[in-house]
Amino acid sequence: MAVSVSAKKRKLSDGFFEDDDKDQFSMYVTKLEPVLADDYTKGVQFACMMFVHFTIQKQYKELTTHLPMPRLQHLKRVKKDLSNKDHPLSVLLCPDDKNQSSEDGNPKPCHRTPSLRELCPAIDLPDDVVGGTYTVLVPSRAPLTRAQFEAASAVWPTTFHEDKYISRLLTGPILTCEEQEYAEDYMKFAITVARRGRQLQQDSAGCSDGCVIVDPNTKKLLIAAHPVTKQHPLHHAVMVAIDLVAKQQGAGSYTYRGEHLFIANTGELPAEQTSEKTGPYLCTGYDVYVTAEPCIMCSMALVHSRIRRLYYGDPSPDGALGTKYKLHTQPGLNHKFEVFRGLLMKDHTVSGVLNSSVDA
Amino acid sequence: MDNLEFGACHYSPDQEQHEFWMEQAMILAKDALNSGEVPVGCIFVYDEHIVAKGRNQVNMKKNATRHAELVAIDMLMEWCQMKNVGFNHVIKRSILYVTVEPCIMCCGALRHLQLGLVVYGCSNDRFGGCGSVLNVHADDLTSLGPPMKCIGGYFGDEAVSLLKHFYHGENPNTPCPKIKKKVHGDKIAS
Ligand SMILES: [Zn+2]
Ligand SMILES: [Zn+2]
Repeated sequence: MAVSVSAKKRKLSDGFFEDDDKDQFSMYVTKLEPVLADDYTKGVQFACMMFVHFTIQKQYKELTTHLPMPRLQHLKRVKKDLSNKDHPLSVLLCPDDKNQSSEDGNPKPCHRTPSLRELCPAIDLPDDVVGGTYTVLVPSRAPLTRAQFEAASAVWPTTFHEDKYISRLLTGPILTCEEQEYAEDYMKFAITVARRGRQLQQDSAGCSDGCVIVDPNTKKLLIAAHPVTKQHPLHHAVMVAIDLVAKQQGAGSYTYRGEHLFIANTGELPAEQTSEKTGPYLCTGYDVYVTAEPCIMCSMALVHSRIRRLYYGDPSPDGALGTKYKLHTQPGLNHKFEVFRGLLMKDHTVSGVLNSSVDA
Repeated sequence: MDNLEFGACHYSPDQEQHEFWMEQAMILAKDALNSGEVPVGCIFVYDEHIVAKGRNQVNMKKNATRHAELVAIDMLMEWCQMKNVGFNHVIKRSILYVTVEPCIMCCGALRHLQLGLVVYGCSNDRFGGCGSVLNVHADDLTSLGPPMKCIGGYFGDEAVSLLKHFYHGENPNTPCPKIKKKVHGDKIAS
């Protein structure tokens, strides 16, 4: 039942997709983007810090030994301002917990910033070295992306440990040409199975029309499924696909026959009992392709099933992998997976043209 | 049977009745434990009768979505077919008694079906969808319809004790009075 989309890819696809199917792919366009946790897309967040104007680089060690800064390690201690002739250095002292940062990004002074002597009497520095103390807003979180680093650095000098993988996802290309070709082929299976499913299951609905599960190590397409919600309101495409994987592993629980479920590739359900039970635990390591962003139920089903990665085409109004929630990055859950969207999404420029020509 | 409209004159069990039903769910959770599954059990009560039951079957079915709630929903559908009554009609007027707070997936499923009321035992700090991790029962999700009513805290200690036994091999019969609605299991699939 597993179809290898490898060397014989073209042939297999050609056999599977009918001419009608091929026509409809022209309505789709790929604009792949990663769906990352909010931490990667947030703007700069602020915290209030006190700093002191200072003259000589050498002597600022006296400050740092008396006032270590265990938090906010991403901030550089010293900022140079050569336009200030008397005190060209600004040295961070400690968090100013009494002042709050206001919404507009400016410090909201609630109290006078204490002098250096008031803050730390043990510091012994000549008067001409030390200038005034002030409160300033600094970036409160270490930057995770280059864009965040640049925004933070404009506020206060900041260090940045670049995650090369994340940078590649953000700047692209996310996939090599070959990988993208495979990914689009899998999604074309999902779109086509959705279409065949609609012929069997009129008025069937679910969060997405079609779902394909692939083993990325062997590149084998394991399962393609469509929603069966006329028979069962919860049997969205993803839920059906997960159970079909269980069937391949010799278990599973849904009981569908051909008249309700279009089975891709062989026209047969996976055998109830197979001699080889070599599948992974649940869907561990598998990649999932769905035509639209899954709902909260299906998204959590995929967390429970421990998939590696999910691709979808279009966002959904109550979608749980980017729109209403980002469940795949949810803190506290025991499994996380990667999500990319925009793989063969509906090309609205094409449908727009169609609609306007219909109207005219 | 038709005078059970929620909001109108529906069946509203008192504390004692809630406890009685939850004990029935607890029996199913123990059955799950004896079968090597995460010990979560549940029943659907409609018209003052148990009409469906379920317990976790993830390992048996090799399907991570076979939680007690989804197993019981399938049984409820069969019951409705057998009795020739509408599933949508019945589930809207049913109460689910489940030993552990429904997870995010099950909460989405139950709200999607517009279940009348969920009564649960302990909270599910790892996966809970009724307030512990997410508020799927109440968040603004147009496609899922109105918020779902949930009450927790019935036999929570006993439910936790079963989970601890499953994950840490602790004896469920030893009382652990210190635990209150806190789940310490590594993986809790309810
Ligand atoms: Zn769904
Ligand atoms: Zn669940």
